[in-house]
Amino acid sequence: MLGRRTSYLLILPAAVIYFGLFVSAALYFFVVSFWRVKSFRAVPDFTLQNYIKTFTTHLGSAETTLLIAFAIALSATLLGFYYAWLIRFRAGSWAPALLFIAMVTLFGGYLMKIYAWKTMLGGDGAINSALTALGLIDQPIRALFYSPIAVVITLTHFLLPFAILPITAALRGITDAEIESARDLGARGFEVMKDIIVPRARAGIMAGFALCFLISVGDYLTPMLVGGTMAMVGQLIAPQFGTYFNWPLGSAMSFSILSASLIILGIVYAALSRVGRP
Amino acid sequence: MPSATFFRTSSLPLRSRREFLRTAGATATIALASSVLPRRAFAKTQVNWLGWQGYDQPLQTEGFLDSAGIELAATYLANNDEIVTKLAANAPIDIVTPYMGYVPGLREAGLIQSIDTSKVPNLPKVLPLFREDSNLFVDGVHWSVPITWGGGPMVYDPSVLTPTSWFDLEKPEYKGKIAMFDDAVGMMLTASIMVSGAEVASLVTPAQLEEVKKYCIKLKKEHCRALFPSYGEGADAMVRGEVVMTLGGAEWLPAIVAEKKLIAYTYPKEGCFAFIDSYVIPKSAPHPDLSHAMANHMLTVPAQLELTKNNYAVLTQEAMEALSGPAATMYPYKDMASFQKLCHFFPMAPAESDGKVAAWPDWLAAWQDVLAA
Repeated sequence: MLGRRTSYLLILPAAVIYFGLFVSAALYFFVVSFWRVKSFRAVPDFTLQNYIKTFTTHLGSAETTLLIAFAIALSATLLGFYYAWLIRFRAGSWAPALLFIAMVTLFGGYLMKIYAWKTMLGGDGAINSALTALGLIDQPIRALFYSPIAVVITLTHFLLPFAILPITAALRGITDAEIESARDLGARGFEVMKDIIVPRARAGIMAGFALCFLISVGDYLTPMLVGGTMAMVGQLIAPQFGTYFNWPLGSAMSFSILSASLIILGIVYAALSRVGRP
Repeated sequence: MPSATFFRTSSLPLRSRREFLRTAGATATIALASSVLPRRAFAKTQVNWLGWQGYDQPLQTEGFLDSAGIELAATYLANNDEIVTKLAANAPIDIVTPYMGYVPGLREAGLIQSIDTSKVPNLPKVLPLFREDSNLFVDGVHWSVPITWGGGPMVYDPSVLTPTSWFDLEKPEYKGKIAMFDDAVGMMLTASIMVSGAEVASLVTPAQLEEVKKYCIKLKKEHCRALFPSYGEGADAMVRGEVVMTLGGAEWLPAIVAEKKLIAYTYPKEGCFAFIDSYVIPKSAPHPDLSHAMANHMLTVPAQLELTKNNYAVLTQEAMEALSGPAATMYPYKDMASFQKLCHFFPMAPAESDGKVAAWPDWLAAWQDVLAA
């Protein structure tokens, strides 16, 4: 057994990197969020103007962002849970292959996936062409592309492995004996799922949901390329640090959306914690 | 060039053994010197260049950099405001390539130096339309050397319509088939031409700017299919039939999709904004002579033709005459009079507002509101 002191020493390099590269930078931007801008330069100050501007001007975009990110995280988590459940309980000797396939899609590249969906969802894309060829529609369904639906589909596809992996890891911790015991005690399929599998995989489900949700909230490329006229908040934050040289407003917007995201994750965690409780 | 001189010396006819020995001795000395002290004797000067990607490429033509002894350290811009920030911080930069609207502000702030025309003998070759633009040429003094230009035309699908006015964007039959771009200058200036009523579209009152913003929001919400991150994405959408015309655009868009679909551009009757990009020499440029030499080289025919490889326009008469292939028709070289009549080189909005004229940060904030709407 390692002594407590040795454990701390082993953690130290990671802690230094974490605090040096993440926490200190986050603290810096938090301080900057109270500054103001004069002639394209951030000037130290203590003003709430950036937060007021965020809540008065960008509230609509923030709501849209959170709603879409929630939809993406929910669909990715549900699909990811089903896929992970197949791997753990149904695939048998095919389980490693299914897991490998899920991981391989991570190597596909983010932009490539966006452009792939562009060719699928567009007016002359594969889906509309197929539906037209089958005589199911006369005109292409324009809502499929350059729309929030396109963003949800594209990001769900991209983020699916981020949900599958932690949930698979969590499901692996559930032994067959636990399932059999529940069944021996009279639990049916749904009850086994609700009372045994979901509570035991809660950490993995929550990790998958949180990853998908937070990545979606911060994404600005996908809505830019397939979202049409909609704006997610990342699209408005990114240029503040480049084109507009308004780091204080960009920081205030970032911390506002981060806070809102953490609140939503807290609510989801609380709701998930209730599943399986007597 | 040292190597050329050496070659010429050794090729002279030799008249005697003594002369041969003298020549051989000199040759050996030169060879030794060039092998032992090459870096000291022919050291290049590092020249710091801050500009748009592609505007440095013509400097590679005709062996210019080698012959001028320049080692180019190029840094590419993400936006024009970087130029202001870096020059204000006295960064040791030899050349910047701002949009012409920024030049008056840089001049007034004392951040750039005037052009010594005796060191840019190619400058008179530039068409007066560009050379004597009021942003760049003040009281007989040149403040920059123009290198390329362009406009913000409407791009459209000629198989669907032939627009003549920006207000064709509002026609109900094209609802949901309009392209806009995430380009604050291009979108807002064009909208300002349409609805602000200002004499100079870039110099508007806060109330007029509000009207421009409202109009952009209306177009975006009621008529626009997508707000594209780049002009190329918009052209691609036109090829796929998603959009049929654009608010703003570029003359080179039809050329880049020519193999897939015929699309066209026009300068609507209300007019368009236009730009000139130029080589500007900062006040604190460490090597002003080399800066002038680079600006001069950019106006040579090979350098100008090199610009067309990236779809940029040329602006000297002799370069226009040397164009061939698609580059020759990409811009309205044959009808510059129409361009001059319809397209305008607007100055930038002021950096800070005096309450009467909206400042550039106000324009950016208004565009943010359009994006968020």
